Amino acid sequence: MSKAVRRELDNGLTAIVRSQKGVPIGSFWVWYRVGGRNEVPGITGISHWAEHMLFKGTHEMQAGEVFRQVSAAGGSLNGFTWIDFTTYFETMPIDQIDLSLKIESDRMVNARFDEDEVASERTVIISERRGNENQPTFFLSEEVSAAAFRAHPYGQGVIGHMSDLEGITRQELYSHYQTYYRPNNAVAVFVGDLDEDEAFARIERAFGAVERGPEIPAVRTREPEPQGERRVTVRRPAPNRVLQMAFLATNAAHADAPALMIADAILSGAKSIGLSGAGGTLGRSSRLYRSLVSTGLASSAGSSVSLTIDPSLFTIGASLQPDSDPDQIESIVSEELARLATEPVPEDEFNRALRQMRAQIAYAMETVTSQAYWLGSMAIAAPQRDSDEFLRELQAVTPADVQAVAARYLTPNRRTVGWLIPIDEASNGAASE
Amino acid sequence: MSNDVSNHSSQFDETMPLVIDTQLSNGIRVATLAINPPRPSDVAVVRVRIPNGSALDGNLAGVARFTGGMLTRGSDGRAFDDLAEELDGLGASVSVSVGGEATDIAMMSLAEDSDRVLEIMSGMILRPDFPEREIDIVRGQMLSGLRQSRNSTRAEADRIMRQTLYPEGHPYHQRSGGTEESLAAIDREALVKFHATSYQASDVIVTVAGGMSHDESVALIDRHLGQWRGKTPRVDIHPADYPSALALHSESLPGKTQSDIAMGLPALNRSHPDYYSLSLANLVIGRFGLMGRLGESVRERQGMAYYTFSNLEAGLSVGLWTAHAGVAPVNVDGAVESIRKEVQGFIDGGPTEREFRDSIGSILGALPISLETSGSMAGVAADVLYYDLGNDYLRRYRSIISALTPDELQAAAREHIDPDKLVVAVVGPDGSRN
Repeated sequence: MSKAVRRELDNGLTAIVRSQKGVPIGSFWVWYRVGGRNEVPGITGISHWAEHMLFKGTHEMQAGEVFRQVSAAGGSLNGFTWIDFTTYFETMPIDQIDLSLKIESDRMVNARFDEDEVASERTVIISERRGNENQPTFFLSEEVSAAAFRAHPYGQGVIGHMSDLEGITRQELYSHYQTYYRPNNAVAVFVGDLDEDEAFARIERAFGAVERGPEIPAVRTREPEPQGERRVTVRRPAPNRVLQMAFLATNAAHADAPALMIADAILSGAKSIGLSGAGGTLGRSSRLYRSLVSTGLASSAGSSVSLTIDPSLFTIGASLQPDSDPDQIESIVSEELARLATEPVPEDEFNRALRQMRAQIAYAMETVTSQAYWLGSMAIAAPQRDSDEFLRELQAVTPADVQAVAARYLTPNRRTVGWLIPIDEASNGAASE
Repeated sequence: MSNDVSNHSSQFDETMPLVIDTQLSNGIRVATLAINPPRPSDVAVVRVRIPNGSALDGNLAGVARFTGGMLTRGSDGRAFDDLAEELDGLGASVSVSVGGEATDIAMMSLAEDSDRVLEIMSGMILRPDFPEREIDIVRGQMLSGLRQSRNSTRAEADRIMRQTLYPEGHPYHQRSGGTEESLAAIDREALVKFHATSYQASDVIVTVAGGMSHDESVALIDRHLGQWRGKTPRVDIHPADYPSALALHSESLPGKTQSDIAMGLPALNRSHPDYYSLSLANLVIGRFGLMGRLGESVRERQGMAYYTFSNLEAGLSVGLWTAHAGVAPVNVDGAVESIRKEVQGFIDGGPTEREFRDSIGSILGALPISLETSGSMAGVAADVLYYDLGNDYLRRYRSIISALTPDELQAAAREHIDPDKLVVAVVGPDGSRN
């Protein structure tokens, strides 16, 4: 696999290219440094809504044309919004890739945000939120995030509060778009069957004339150090109790990030670094699986760590079996974390985690789409890091590093403990266990 | 109407790979894709397809899935923890997926470990131990899955639609994940018996992708599965009767804010001559771009739903055409009517010239992307053999699709999808329907 090369255009657009020969396809992405992180109360969810509007027409293309033209060319496409970014991609037969560059350079500045389309999309976005609310664990995640961040906008999530979705105006959406959709706030990534210089030349042709915008408003707030454990409870009709335990950890640029990913692998298996979990499901010999699932106490258990611009959460979750004791589950999780912080991980177990990580990287690198996803997400979360080097850093983590990060971050004082408790709505909210 | 595939078989697309297959002495067919030039890969995938899905459940709903779930939980005298530790140590996975017709067991590993992982996987398939303790754990997980399905508006709507279409006594009427009663009744003896009768070598398809030649793949599979013997039992999966009128079923679930709609009709199986026409018609109706005409009407124009789409499931024996949407309770009736109207509109007018051209471009252009990974190559090869599509299918595919006409798409929709006979299931908050 050739190395990814990064260049910056005169207008501030960061371009990353990896030439990958073999299959005649290419994946092209544009990432914007805007998401839930850049929102304030009153306009929560606006980045995600703006993303929807970028499929609703530009001065060049009618609403729906992006989906039609890319699909007709045999491509796949999507857009999605997260706390740190909003991104759009097309994976295409390589002889059609210019269509992707044309679409993305056009909608970087020419989206229309028609009043009628904004009105129609409001109900679609509300429907998306309502669909999430049909899952009782959605409320739990929302409450845990809100409690874990008392200052930083990460606590607001991405989808937005219902009141804000009902109130956001066309002008607010358009202003948000004009502020953040600028080449100097974007990263273009191409991976596929083009020579490196040819790919850069095409990106330059498509985006070179887009004007640089004003400086992007900085996110000032840093989450204060937690001063003790926080607890939240969600009571909803649900099939079983669910635990979420979230620890304020660190950011992707921090030297501790690779060790936290290995700690996560030891607790519940190495995760995919590709798009949509490309790769295998590993970790049935992991510590949380053995202590919670193999014992029959939980039907599933896992952990996750995010690579983000600002410090975010290291989360542990468990879906309980009906007759399991919640206190026992919490104790077991706490004991596992204390063990990680106080005892070095035995060599064979540690090597299993490293091998899983190596395999997950190989699985994700099979597709140009996942490669581009990895390059883009790292360029957003930790622009100063070399994403290829990060993969090597993962392999260089030691048991002492894992012990150190567990002791530093996975402590009771840094945690928010959330419980979803099933209720029987028919009996006025009485617990139904 | 029909599409005579053989008429176009002379127009080969030489850029597409042939499927090479070799039959072992025990009847197993081993297939690979002949990618030329060979593509080096760090990732190996072996997929084993056994024609023993949930249709064989009989009066023990869920036994096929329960048995599938037990394969990885102890075999060859080795405990689950021991096996999981070795697989995790290799960064490899073995996954089991039980459908209505077949069980797919797939391993994925780094190419250098494929021999060892296949040895483990073959033990899981041929010699599972069914330890009592692991049976209890898998039962607990299936019960948990059942509770979660019952709490999901989407899953429940889909279940009601299917159970209505497939009447009692049909192998697809039952919950393939079982019920509280059936899962309690499935004991070790039942699992051992299902495995002994239904995990047989004949009719098994094994596909291999990633860093190995065809001959190497055949040798590898022969070494690990060559001793497997026996004949898989057949079950008659007859088509469901076509409903005589539109039927609406609704249920409510507490604590929900949105309603999910599932509607469906019996359609055709994979070998039906109308398959390609109906498949393209379905693409136009509810898949192309942002969920086809349904997406354009229900989401884009009316803003009623975040998602709506249609689907054509065509198995070896039977098939279903389905449509789905998630909407606010107040919009349920409007969404159902809009979906029916869009289907009727297609039946009356067929695809526009542009829709027809776009949908052809879409599926032909996507072909190289569908062969990008070892996993997708193994999946495509398995389907080619399973549905008996011919070893040159990928080379003929362009001509099969290019030979279709707009009239054929319209006629297929008219023949197979009657919007006045749909079975409609709605699950949401109280008062889901006006």
